[in-house]
Formats: sequence, C-alpha cells, structure tokens
Amino acid sequence: MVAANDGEDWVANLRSVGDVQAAAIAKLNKFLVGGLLRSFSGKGVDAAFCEDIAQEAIVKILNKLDQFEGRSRFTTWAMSIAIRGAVSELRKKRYQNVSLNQLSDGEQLQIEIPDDSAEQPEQLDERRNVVLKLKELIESKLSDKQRVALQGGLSGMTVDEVALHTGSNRNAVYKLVHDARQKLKRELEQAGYDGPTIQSLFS
Amino acid sequence: MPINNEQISKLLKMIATVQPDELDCDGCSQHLAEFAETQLLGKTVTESQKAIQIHLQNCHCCEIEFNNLLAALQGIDEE
Repeated sequence: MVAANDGEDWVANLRSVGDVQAAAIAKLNKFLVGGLLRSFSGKGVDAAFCEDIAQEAIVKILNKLDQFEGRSRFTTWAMSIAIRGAVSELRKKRYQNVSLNQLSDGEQLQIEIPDDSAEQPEQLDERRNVVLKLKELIESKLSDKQRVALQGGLSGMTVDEVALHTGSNRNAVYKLVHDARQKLKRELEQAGYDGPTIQSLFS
Repeated sequence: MPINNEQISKLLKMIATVQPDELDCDGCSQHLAEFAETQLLGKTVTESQKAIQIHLQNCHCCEIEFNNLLAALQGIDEE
C-alpha cells in the first residue's frame, strides 16, 4: 500500500519551478511508471508504453492541480489519472483491430418470449407476463438510442464500445442506459411488478 | 438480434436494482482514488461511497479502471 505522504507538499513542489519542480516530477514519474507496470504486466504492455502514459498523465496532473481536493493521498489521485489514460489508450488500440459491426445500424433490442416449459406453470405464467410487459415497454417507451445502447450492453459490449460506435462518450451512454432502466422500472411498477417481485421471479 | 433468456434476466435485474441518484461515470471517476484507499486499507465503505460501489457493479468500464488502480497501488511504497 502507498506510504503516507503530504498532498500539500506534492502540490507545492509541482507548482514550484526549477530543481524543486523537476525533482517532484521525476519522483512522480517513477511512482506512476512503477504502478502502471505493476497493473498492466502480462497484458501486452511494455515499459515504453508505461513511460509514455506516465508522461501524458503528468501533463494532465500539472494542469489539474487545482482539482486535487485532498480526499485521498495525492499519489493515489495521480495514479487514478494515469490508469484512466492507460486504459483509454489500450481501448483505442484494441478498437483499431476490432470490428464494431456487432451493433449494426438499426439493430435494436428485441425480445423473444422465452421457452420456459420446464418451469412450474404458475411461475411460468408470471415470468411470461413480466417479459411480455417488458417487450411492450421497450417497444413503446424507449427511444431508438436507448434500445441500441441496451442491446450493446446485453451483447457484451462495454459502455466505451457502445459510445465509440454511436459517436458518443462513456458518460452519455451510461446516462442513456440509466434513464432507460428508470423508465422501465417505473412502468413495470405501475403494471404491478416492483423490483423485489422481478428479482424473485428472475433470480 | 433478439436477446436470450439469460440476457432478459440480466436486463430485468438491471431494471429492478436501478437507483434514481446513481453516480454517472464522471462522478465515479472523481471519487475513485478515495474509494481505492478505502478498499486497500480495509475500511468500512461509507454511505456516500456506496454510490461508487453501485456504479462499479453496473459499469464494466469503470470497474476495469478501478481494478487496475488497485493493482497499481498494491504493494507500492513511495520511498
């Protein structure tokens, strides 16, 4: 675990000039590269990649010093910025070689009524009714974008992949899906199917 | 492409467990460092941190970043 450190010293030193700032940057760089190597070892990542990511992260950190609020150690905060940069870069590299045709234009969430013939008749009826209602709500209450985003997630795509495909960003896609989930929950509740009921039927 | 029974169950679970005040990805990112320290130090998750926990359960992208952050911090000593 990271040793205790003084966030204010880091901020002050990084804001400084000359040797003090250079020493702080060098120390931070060493810390970030070590963490990146530890985190991504065995994932096709080499030291040069980690050095590049650490350099880019330090530029971001220097520009964001005002945003450090001291809720965590400075180094933990800095590492979170470096990790986000690394994950983002690795995803970009992955997308260069992966087709995103999984979510073709116009492909939207469709629900087929499941064949649950092995279930007890009473439970089967209840499950079937919930699924029928869900199908109706998806078709009548959700936007095309919401259906596409849900379909992507259920097909195993990450939020980032859906965002890339739809020309959006991670946060916007997450909100799109969240709004869809809330809308469907409200409508299902109005139809008599609250959260616990649904969970007991489909656990 | 129709979804299968397993995906229907997953979708219904996502619907049943949704909270109106869930953190979005940007909000989660802002608190990821402090949450990582809570986890690494074995501290109890606070009420406000439960929102981070819920987001990480629902967002695979943020979960990946969090796990990588934990891996980066584990065992590191600054000096």
